[in-house]
Amino acid sequence: MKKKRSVVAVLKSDYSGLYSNLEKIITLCEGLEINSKNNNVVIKINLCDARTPETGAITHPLFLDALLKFLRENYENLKIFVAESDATVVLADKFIKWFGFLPVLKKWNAKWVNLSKEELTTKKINGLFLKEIQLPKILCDNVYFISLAKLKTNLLTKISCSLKNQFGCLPEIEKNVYHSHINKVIADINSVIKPDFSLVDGIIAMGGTQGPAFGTPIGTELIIGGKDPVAVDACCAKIMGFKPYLVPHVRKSNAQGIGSLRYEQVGDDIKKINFEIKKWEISLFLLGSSLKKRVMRRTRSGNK
Amino acid sequence: MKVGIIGAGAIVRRGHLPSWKRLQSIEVSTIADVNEILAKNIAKEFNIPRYSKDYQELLDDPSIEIVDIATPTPSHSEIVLKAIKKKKHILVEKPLAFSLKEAKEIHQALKGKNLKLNIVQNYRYYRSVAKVKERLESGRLGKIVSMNGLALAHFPVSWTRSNWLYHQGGVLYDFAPHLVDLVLWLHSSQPKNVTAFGGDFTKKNMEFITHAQILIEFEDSSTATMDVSWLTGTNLLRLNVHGTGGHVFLDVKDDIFLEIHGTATPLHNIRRFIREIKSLVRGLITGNFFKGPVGYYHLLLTDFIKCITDDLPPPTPVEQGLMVNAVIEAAQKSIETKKAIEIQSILSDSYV
Repeated sequence: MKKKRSVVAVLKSDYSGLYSNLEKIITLCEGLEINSKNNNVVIKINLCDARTPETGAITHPLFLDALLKFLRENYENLKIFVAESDATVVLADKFIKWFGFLPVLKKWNAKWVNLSKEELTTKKINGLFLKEIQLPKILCDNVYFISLAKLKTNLLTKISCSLKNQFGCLPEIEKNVYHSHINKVIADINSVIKPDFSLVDGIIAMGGTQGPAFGTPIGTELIIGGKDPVAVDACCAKIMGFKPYLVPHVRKSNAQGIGSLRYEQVGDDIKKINFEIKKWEISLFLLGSSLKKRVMRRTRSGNK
Repeated sequence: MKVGIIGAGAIVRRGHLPSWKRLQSIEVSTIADVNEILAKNIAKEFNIPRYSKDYQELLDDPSIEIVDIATPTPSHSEIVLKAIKKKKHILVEKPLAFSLKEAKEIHQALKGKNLKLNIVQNYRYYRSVAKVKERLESGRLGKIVSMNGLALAHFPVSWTRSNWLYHQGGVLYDFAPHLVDLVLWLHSSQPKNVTAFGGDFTKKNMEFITHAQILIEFEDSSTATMDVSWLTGTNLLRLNVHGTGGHVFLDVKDDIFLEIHGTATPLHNIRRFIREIKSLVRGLITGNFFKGPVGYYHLLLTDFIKCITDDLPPPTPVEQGLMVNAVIEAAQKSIETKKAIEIQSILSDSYV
C-alpha cells in the first residue's frame, strides 16, 4: 500500500483572525493527539535575539495567546510549559518579560521554562554529528511537544522554521560551537525530540539576507502547521523560494527518517512569496564573516 | 612601563590587549578579573605573566605604573579612586562613571595629583572624525549652528551577559556616551540645557530607557540633537554638523565624511561614492573594516603613553568625561521629569 503523504496546512491569516484560523489549521491536520497519558504540553517558542515581535524575528505573543486559548478551551487538566533557552544573544528570562509574554502566560496559567536552567538528561544517539546529546529532561519525558516557530530566512541554514527551532532546545549558552555542523546537529536534535505538532508563525515573517534576527519584516500573513516537521519545513522552504531538497537540514532530517519531504498541502493555495533573498549577498556576507574571524584571530595572536 | 589590566571581558580581548601588545615600550604584567578562570585564560592567550581575581593585588604592585580599567561601568569609580590613591596612571573605559556624583568624586580626587587619567573614546581616532575636527577648527564650516547625530546599537546581549546595563538609564550608558563625546568634543561651546524624550518603548516591560532623543542647547545658542536606541537592530554612528560656512555629513562606522558648501549637487554624491569605495579599500587593507572600533585602540594607547612620557594633557581628560556624564544624567533626568535640565545646576555642589 502506498504510504500516506504528510499533511501540511497553510492559511492566510492576520493576528486578529488568528484564533479561528489556528482552529482550522489544527482541524485540517486531524487535531492534536493529546490524551490523558501526555497531558503535559511543552511549547517551544522562538526568541532568537533581542528583537520586538513586529520585526518578525521572534514568535509573536499573540500567536502564543491564541494557541494557549485553544489548548485551554479544548483540553482539560493540561499542564502547559512554554520554553526557550539562553544563547549567546538570548537572555531568555529577560526576553520573556521584555517582549510581552508574561501576561499571556499568566492569563492561560502556563509555566515559563528556561531550558538552560532545567535538569538535564543524556541520550546516546547514532546521529550525523552528535553521538551523545544532553537535553532538558522536561523535553524527554512523556510530553506533547509543540514547536511554535517563525517563518524566517537564515544566513546559515537558508530557512529557520520548525526543525531549526529545536536547535534552541540545546541547553548550552554557547550554541555557536555547533554552527560549523549546524545542519547535521539540527537533524540529530530532531531525531530525539521530534515535535508532535509544528506551527509556524508567518503572519509577520522575516526575509532578506540578514535573517534570522536582522532581516526584513515581510507581512506574508500566513500560518502553517502540520504533524511532520520535515514536511512543514519543506512547505515553508517552497513558499520562501527554496527547493526543499536543497535546504541541507531539511534534506538530512528527511534522510534520517524524522519526516518526509513529500507532503500534501491543504488550506489556502499559497505557492511562492518573494522573501527578498539574494544569493550573491548571502555569499558575500558569509565570505565577510569568515574573513572577519581570520583577521580577529590574527590580531589576537600575531603580536608581541 | 608596566601595565595592569582590570577586567578580562570581550573588549579587553578584542581591543585593549591586542593594542597594548603592539606597543614596544609596554609590558602587560598582570590581568585581574573577578572571574579567575577568564583571567587565567586571557593571561595564557596573551602571554601575560600574572593573573588574579583580586584587582587590589594589581594596585598594590609598585612596579605597575599604568592601570587599564575595562570593567562594567558601576565599578569604575571604586577602582579609579583606589588607583589614584596608589598613584597609578589610569586608562578607563567610557563612560567615566555610573553617575555624575561618582564622576565628580573622581574629578575631585585627581585634583593636584601628577597623574594622567584618560577615558577610552576610541571613535575620536577614526580618520574621518579626526578630519572633521580639523575642518571645524580651521573655520571652514564657520560657526556651528546645529548638529544632529545617530547612535543606534544592538541590545548588548551578545558581548555581555551581565545585568548592569539593564538599569534605569539603559541605552544612555551604553552607546550614547560615544555620540555625546563626539558632539561635545567637536563643538567649541559648552552645553547649557539638556532636554530629552524617550523611555521604555515596550511600556514598562523593560523598565529602562531603550531609546531617547536628546537635545542639547549650547551656551552660544547652537543646538545638537541625538537619537540613541537599542531597538532598531542596527549599528550606526552618524553625525551631521551644520555651520554658517558649510555642512559636514559624517558616517563614523563607514569612516567617511562629506563636506558641502552651498547647495548639494550630484557631484557631491559622486564624491561620496568615491570616498566610500576608498574607505572600503583602506579598511580591507588595514583590517579595520573587520575590526571596527577596536581597530583604533592602538592609536588611543599611543596617544595616552605619549601624554605620560611627555607630560602632556590626556587626550580625553577627566573634565571631558565628567561633562559626558553630566549630559547623560541630565538626559535621564529630563526623561523622568519631562523638563529641561540646566547643566550648571547639576554640576553644582548642591546637586545630588
